[in-house]
Amino acid sequence: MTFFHFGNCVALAYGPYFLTYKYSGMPEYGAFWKCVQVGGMYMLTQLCKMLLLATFFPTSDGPPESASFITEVVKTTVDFGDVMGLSIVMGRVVASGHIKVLIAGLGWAAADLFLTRALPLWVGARGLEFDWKYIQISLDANISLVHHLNMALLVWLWWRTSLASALRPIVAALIVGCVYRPLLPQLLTILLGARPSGFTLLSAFAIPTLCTTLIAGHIFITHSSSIRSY
Amino acid sequence: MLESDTQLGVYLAYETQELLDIYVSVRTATNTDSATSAAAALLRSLSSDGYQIVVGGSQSKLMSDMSIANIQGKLSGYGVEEQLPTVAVVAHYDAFGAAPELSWGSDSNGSGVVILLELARILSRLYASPRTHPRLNIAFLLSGGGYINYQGSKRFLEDHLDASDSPLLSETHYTMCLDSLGAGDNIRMHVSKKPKDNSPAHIFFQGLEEIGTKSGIKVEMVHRKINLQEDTQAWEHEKYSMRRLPAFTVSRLPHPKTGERGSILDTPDSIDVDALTRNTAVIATSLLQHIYNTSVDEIFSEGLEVTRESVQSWLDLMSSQPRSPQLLSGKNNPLVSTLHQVLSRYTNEARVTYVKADKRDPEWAFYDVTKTTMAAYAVKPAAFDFLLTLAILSYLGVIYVFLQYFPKIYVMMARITSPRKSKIH
Repeated sequence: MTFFHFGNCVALAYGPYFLTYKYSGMPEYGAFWKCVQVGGMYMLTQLCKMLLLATFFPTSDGPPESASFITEVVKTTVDFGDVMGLSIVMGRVVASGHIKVLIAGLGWAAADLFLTRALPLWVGARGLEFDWKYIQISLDANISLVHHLNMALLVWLWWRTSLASALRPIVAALIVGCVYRPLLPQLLTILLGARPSGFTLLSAFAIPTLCTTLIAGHIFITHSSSIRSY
Repeated sequence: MLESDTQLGVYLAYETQELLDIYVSVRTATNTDSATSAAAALLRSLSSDGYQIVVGGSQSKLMSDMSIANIQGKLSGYGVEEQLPTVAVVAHYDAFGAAPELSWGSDSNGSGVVILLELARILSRLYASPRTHPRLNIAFLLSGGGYINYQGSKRFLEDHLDASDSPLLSETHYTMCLDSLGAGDNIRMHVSKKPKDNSPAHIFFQGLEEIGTKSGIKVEMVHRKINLQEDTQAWEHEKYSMRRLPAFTVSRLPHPKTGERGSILDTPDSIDVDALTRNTAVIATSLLQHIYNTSVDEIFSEGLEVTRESVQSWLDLMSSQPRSPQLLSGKNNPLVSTLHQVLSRYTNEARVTYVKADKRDPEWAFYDVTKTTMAAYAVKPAAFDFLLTLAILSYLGVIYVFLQYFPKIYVMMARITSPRKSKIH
């Protein structure tokens, strides 16, 4: 069953990426290399983030549970580097409107997928042991695709000069919310008293992501239709 | 379990919560009879975990160069050594059980070794002082291979009786073998031939009986003839008796084949340290009484007493590792060298000799790989994987449809939002 199971996980994780690329009209723009460039930019950003983390937050030798919520918050703040990286990418990639967002988001998400999830799948899912963990990793990859597209969209909106000033705080709040998304499990632990795991955790990630995406999509539609009406 | 022949490998593990969980899960999974319908049974088999058990490690093979170590030492009496009689104290230090790594053998024969070491400790003090130096040699032997027909004792006898230059056993009073004395209120002296009145063994027995009764222990003599038809000897003293040496085994067991010897249930927990201490004291006292031929009540002072602490420390030493013969093989075995060190501290001429099986006609054979790691992997049936594939394909199909209709959805959403926008403007 083992290799077959690995195939299943890969199909679940990578299928949506492929479909998104194939059917959102991106091949017509020759966007593949742009996506790869975005991926390279992603790696560069992660490197800078790691340098920052290693410089300012030396790893404590204690068990990971001992890390307080506040330090976690401060550490996650470094993830604003992602926003900056995406902004730079937005400035560089030459494409129009929604295609630009798609290229940046998809490239970013694909690089993230390759660098963080490919190895655990390759090592783990081929093993004899069955664990729901690998299915969860694959589903999580899908959620993070939506998340990264959403981030790209929000960042793009932020840099529009024509964005209505009333919407600006909302976009900013959404960006902040997206950046602090990794803190969700800890927050839930504090609120519920028990750390969610497995599919509960997965849905805890999925629901806010989908909500923000809906809001962001709504803002985008409003924005672009307002541009069109002018 | 040792006598039955199985086709499959049998592995022993300690019972843990994880193992119990696996057991319960497997038992409910295989119990499909209670399902109401075939569909229910199929559903249950899909939802439950199967387990695939994988044993790591290599194939076990014959240990070709296994050796068994004998550790011996002696205390020489006052006078010309060759003309003095000898008392030999023997205990085999190996253990045996269905699983080598679980053969702790604390009672059989950890307790015998404990008593021997304690005797060596006390006697070394008495032999060191000129006032209490007796006219008697004492030989100590920690023999190996006690469960493979006393190979260690056999070799010891061959070395010392057949070789003419070694007078150690030529003039023995008796040979005392110690076996399984770690609990209970009985001490039995097993002999193959009833000792004559006024022979040293008989005097020792009388002393043992007298002192044992004082401490509340029942002492009796058990007589059992050696069956020469049998290939193996039941008690260690039979090896000596067959060579016409007066010998007996001191044990708490009434019979050599009670099943308490050579069992994996013979763990350190089964030892009653107080009883062992008392037995040690009784044996030590009667031995000393025999040596000095007088009452020895006043001799036990100034650290010569049998103490619970020292008995416990020897017991800890013997419980430090399982002592199946194949685990004690090799030149630099830590337990063997520790025992050697102990005996060299207390006795003279302590040394280790190694016994190897005859190459052409080996009397014993042991296999290695005594311990391995076994992994139970939770696995799902193949049908589950197919089901998963179908689910993933349909999921991807939904995404495909969503992306195909994305422009339409976009237009729809724009239409929904635009009227409200016109109101705002």
